[in-house]
Amino acid sequence: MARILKYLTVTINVMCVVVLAFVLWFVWQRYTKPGQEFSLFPTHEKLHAGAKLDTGLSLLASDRPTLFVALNKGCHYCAASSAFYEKVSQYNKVAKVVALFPNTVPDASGYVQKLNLKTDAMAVADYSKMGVLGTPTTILADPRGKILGVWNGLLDHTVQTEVLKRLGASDEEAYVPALADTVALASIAKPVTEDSYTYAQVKEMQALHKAFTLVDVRDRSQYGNGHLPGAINIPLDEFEVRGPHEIKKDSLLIVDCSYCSECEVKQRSSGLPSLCTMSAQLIDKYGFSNLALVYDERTGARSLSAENEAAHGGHSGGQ
Amino acid sequence: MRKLKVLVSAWLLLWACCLYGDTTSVPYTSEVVIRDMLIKKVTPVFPPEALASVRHAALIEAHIVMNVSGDVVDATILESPDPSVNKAVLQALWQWKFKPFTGVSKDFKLAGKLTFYCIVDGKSGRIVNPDEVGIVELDGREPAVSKEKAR
Repeated sequence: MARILKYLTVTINVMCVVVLAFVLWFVWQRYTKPGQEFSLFPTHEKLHAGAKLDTGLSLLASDRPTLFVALNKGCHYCAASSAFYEKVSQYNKVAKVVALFPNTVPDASGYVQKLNLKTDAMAVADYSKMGVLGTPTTILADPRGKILGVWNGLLDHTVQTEVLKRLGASDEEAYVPALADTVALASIAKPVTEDSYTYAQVKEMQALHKAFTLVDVRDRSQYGNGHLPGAINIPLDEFEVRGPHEIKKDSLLIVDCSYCSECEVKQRSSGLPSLCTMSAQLIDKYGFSNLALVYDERTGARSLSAENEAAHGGHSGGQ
Repeated sequence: MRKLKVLVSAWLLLWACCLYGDTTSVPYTSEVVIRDMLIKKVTPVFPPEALASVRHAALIEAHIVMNVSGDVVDATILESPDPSVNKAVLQALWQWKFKPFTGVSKDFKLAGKLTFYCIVDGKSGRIVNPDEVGIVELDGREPAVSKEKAR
């Protein structure tokens, strides 16, 4: 019996050591080794400031620095960066702007135009060889191909300012304001949406039998927990495919994205766009130009009650 | 003392599992990208028993995970009109094949959603991909515009 207990003690000790070693190895792999996995905001050993850009492209023959913008069709963060690209395009006399695509895209020029990016050239590149593992990736290189800076994903206002400064913009020109308040946010969304409605206005339009479609772009679970009466659920990540089949493009589309001013500010400060900002920008790009958002924080207005559903005619928008 | 050791090792093991589980979060991409990568597509067969649940048209939304070779390693149904449709769609999705990934680690996985529509015409039905249909009037919904015109 004593022998068995001894073996058991030794086994437990060995187990402790093995598990501890595994945990240490795992922590080292996760936090110290350069990222090799694909992610939306990847880091790669080939792409860092000071490295030489080896793209196999003869695009660097210029006396100007080159700003490469690695894009991809269907990349939501590329679309959400269009305001920044528009600003970048103003400095194409200082730096050459090259849009990269991972494969031959027949309508690449149309896509670049949609993003408001004026380019000096467009090229096809092997992203895996370049070290670009996610889009958009913005790379600034000097005329010799030495990388001056790499920025991944959707850039927040401080990084946008930094990129513009490196392109030669003055401090004043490069300043991109942080969206510190909802007024600033609204000014971004307004050019795309033109109109916005409060919940009360939507309700009034329903009562007046105005023709429109009310779409809730939140997740299924959020929609299931409560939604505006008459709203149909098309989560934003499904909109690109489902929208054209389920909504007529010429009808007024009112989008409920669960607007919340505090959340907007918090989300923007993290450098990522909010659901409302993404909705305003992406749905317009999908061809639904007759678009408005519900800017209302009255979450109590969302109800799943059978009475509301029945009173507002099932799932359709206008009544 | 022995109990303490067992507890410590169990706690460490649990922590390790939690850490491992955390890294298995799979990057996600849009349906347009996923469908561009498709090399083998098997169309789901509409099960006759679903006729009772679909009047004209219904939505099917699936979530899939593919591995580095482009094989489907996980598939779930997020929305469908009938359990028999779930089975038919999953059976087809397990046979789908995508372009293999290059330049990524062998453990790489990619997730995304896939949309299908059930279309019922009289006494027969079919499951179609979005590019095979135009405007779909889903059961329980009526386009606002046509509603106003009808008034």
